[in-house]
Amino acid sequence: MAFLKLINLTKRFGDFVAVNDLSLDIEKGEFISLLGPSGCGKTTTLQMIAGLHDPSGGSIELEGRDLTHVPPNKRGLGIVFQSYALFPHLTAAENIAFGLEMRGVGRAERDQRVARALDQVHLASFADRHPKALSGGQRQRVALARALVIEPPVLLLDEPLSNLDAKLREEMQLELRILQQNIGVTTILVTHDQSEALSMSDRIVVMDRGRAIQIDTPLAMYEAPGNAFVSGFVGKTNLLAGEVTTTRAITVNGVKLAANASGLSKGAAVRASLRPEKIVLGKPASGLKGKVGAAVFHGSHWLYTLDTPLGDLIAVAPNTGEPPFKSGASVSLSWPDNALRVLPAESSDG
Amino acid sequence: MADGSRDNAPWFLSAPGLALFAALLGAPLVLTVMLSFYQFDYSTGGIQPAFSFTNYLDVLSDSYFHKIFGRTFGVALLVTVVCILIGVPEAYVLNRMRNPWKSIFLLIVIGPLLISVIVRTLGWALLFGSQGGISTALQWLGLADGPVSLMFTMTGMTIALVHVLVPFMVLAVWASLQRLDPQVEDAALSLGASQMTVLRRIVLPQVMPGILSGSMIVFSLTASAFATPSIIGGRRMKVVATTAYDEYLSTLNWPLGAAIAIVLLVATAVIIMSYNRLIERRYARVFE
Amino acid sequence: MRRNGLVSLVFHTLFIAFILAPLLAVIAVSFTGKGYLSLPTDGLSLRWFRTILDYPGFIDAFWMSLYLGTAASTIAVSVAVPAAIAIGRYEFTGREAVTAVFLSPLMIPSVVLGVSFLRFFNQIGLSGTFIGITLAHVIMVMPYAIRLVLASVTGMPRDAEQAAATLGASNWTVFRRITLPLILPGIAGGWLLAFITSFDEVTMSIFVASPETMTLPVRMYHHIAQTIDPLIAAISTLLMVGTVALLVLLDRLYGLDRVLVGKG
Ligand SMILES: Nc1ncnc2c1ncn2[C@@H]1O[C@H](COP(=O)(O)OP(=O)(O)OP(=O)(O)O)[C@@H](O)[C@H]1O
Ligand SMILES: [Mg+2]
Repeated sequence: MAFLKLINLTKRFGDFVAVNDLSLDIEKGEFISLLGPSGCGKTTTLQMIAGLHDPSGGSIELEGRDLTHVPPNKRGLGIVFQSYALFPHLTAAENIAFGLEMRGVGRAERDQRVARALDQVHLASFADRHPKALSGGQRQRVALARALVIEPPVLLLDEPLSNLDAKLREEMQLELRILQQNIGVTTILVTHDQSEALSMSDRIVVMDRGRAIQIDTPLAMYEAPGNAFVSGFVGKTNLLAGEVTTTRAITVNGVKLAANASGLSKGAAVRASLRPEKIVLGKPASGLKGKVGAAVFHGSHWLYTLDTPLGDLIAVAPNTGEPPFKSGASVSLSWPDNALRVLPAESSDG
Repeated sequence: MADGSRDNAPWFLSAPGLALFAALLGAPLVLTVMLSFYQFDYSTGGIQPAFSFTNYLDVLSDSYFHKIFGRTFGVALLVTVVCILIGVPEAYVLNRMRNPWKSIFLLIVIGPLLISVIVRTLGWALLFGSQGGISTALQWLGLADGPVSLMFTMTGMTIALVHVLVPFMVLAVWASLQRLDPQVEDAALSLGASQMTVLRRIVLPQVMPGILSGSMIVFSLTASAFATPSIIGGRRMKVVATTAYDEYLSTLNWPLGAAIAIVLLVATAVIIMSYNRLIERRYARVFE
Repeated sequence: MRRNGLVSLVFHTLFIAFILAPLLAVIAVSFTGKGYLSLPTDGLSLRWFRTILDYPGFIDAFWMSLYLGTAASTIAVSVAVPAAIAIGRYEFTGREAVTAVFLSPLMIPSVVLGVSFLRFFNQIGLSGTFIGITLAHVIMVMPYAIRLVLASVTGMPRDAEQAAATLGASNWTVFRRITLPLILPGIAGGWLLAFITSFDEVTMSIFVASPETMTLPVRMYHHIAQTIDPLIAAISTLLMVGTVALLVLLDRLYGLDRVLVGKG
């Protein structure tokens, strides 16, 4: 029995379907990310779980209890808003204490729990500051502490890190994940940052236009994207258009490539995904050859653009300290046989 | 609180206010419209609740009333035009000032809105009298041989009304200037436009909404002004509001007073609405 | 930074002189030591300020206006707050109409309001009473109260309220602990603007005020209609001092231009 169940959840605004028939089973203690482009319905989904939007259809169950029409103040879930939504007229400590007060927790215990929560998010010395006098990262942590202090069964996070600068965001990702694992709270994170979703979650739900496209672990999502949209959205990829030659090969621009095309009929048009870091570049030899367009330095790795018989490709190679291939150099390309993923045929995405 | 979609909540919340308005604004207005169709009995001083158009026929056919309505709307138009002519440039100048001057002068210009109309009108009465400041100054400058008085003149009334109402114009234009991107002006200058061209082609069209809403406020408030015309204009320069007042409190002919008030209400509304319509059409063209 | 040219500054100086002239004239006359009016005056005297004390009618009228302004703006604001929340927070059919109703006293000439209230109070037996004139003023100042409260309601972030709800607060608690403190500046500004408007109102009050409920501006009007003397100038000067004090308060609280945009 799943801990939190979303069953055929749907939300319409007039004619517009913001969330379309979304179903999801979440286990206790799991960290789930809702990932998708802007406007795909992530916030709407989260707000329906929180009770801030009434679903147009479907239901929500927590530990077998129907939550669908329970008002937000009776759900007891912890929420961190994208804007943090701190109470501007209350101090950090008062913000955190608010939920406890609503639950009638006595003064002594309240103070103690607030102090513990402030400690947890490393803000003990900022207890009496108002939100205006806190930095973005500090505000984010107050919001987190405010949500966690009530010991909610589920923690809902709406892009909690998107307002932070890159360095702080990485730190907070790590901190948040460690905190979540220590407490063991079931968490749903909304994000449009694929690397955040990959690095933090137990499972990822990729959403597009209100629908859940694929639900998988980060590794599976990355290695076996269900379609072109997912492969393009989760990580960088080279998308190749070709046709099925045999069950074990496809042809792209006249070049025959080994790939698992079982279950597809010969001659069918397909697309295949090839992750840039799977491509191994070497001195020109036999096999597929290409020409280096540009070499871009990223510190830990080099990003190459390549002109090949398959079309323009990108490849990533670790920085070994050696000088890179120069622009214009001829190279050979190779990759493990299972690196080229034939994507199931699909209807619309271009 | 959830969606704002729970149907009854907003009605429930606005119910006290709506009830108050229905009882205390709706009912009095209806009663006054009814009253305006009743008859005043000069012999007994009583009111006959018999429906007739007599009062309206009186107001609409009597040249005495024509003159008063003509004067009222004439002054309103004049005051509006003067307010545009001096209020718009002042708002522009204010907007280009630097703090703290900007805030100080803004306070001086629009602060008087909160000072009683009586006090401001009194000030003009003091200046306008034959012993007043203006008379003294004109004689001292040799511009007048004897005492001059602007009391009970059209000029005096117009000056005082402009003073009372011009802050509304400045305020309205100021508000629309706040929304103007100062870089747009710079951009126009950089493209070779002269300062004058920038004003005419760039600034003016954008503050037009402010000027329009300002002139509607000024016009309607002037048309219904009472205290200033009454003190400065006196008996000699009667306007609609002072006439209605006299009918109510001196002649005690309430039905006629009510009819005058209703005609004022309707005439002002019609003028404002047709002006609005006209402008909207104009406007649509400017921004196509 | 663009600067104003010479022509602009000359124009501006004249404009400011125009705005200040009548106010300064009132102040100058109020400090005269003579028994009659003249401008310019010579010598400073507080004689006429002392004389005010011999006119209890003005003093009573002052208190009347004070009570009236306080009562009317308090009632208006307490009705305006829920109404502003309804208008600012909910999408509902009729929302525009409700807003228009609350703003309608701005569109109706004060004389029309005056004659209507006079007739109405006469019919229901409230004419000449404090309750009557208070209710009339409530209607009169309501638009100002609504505008300022509404501005603070719509300017307030919604998600703070949502956050409070998800933390377990009931609707009433959300209002009391989150919404109310956050819109308080708007409420205070609305109250003050309503108070000043009520305190200054003449045109409508002149119809409904009886000798017992005569407000200060109405009494001043009647006095000026008879005679213009340094006494009335002295009273006006005091009134201006009081208004300027409130004005500075309003400016601190809210920013004067923002408040007065509500007035226009
Ligand atoms: N109250 C509303 N009325 C009408 N449409 C709405 C409303 N709220 C959201 N939508 C629409 O529903 C869709 C999904 O919105 P949602 O806020 O869930 O997107 P999101 O995935 O969170 O996007 P983002 O990453 O930009 O925050 C959007 O197209 C949005 O325009
Ligand atoms: Mg969102």
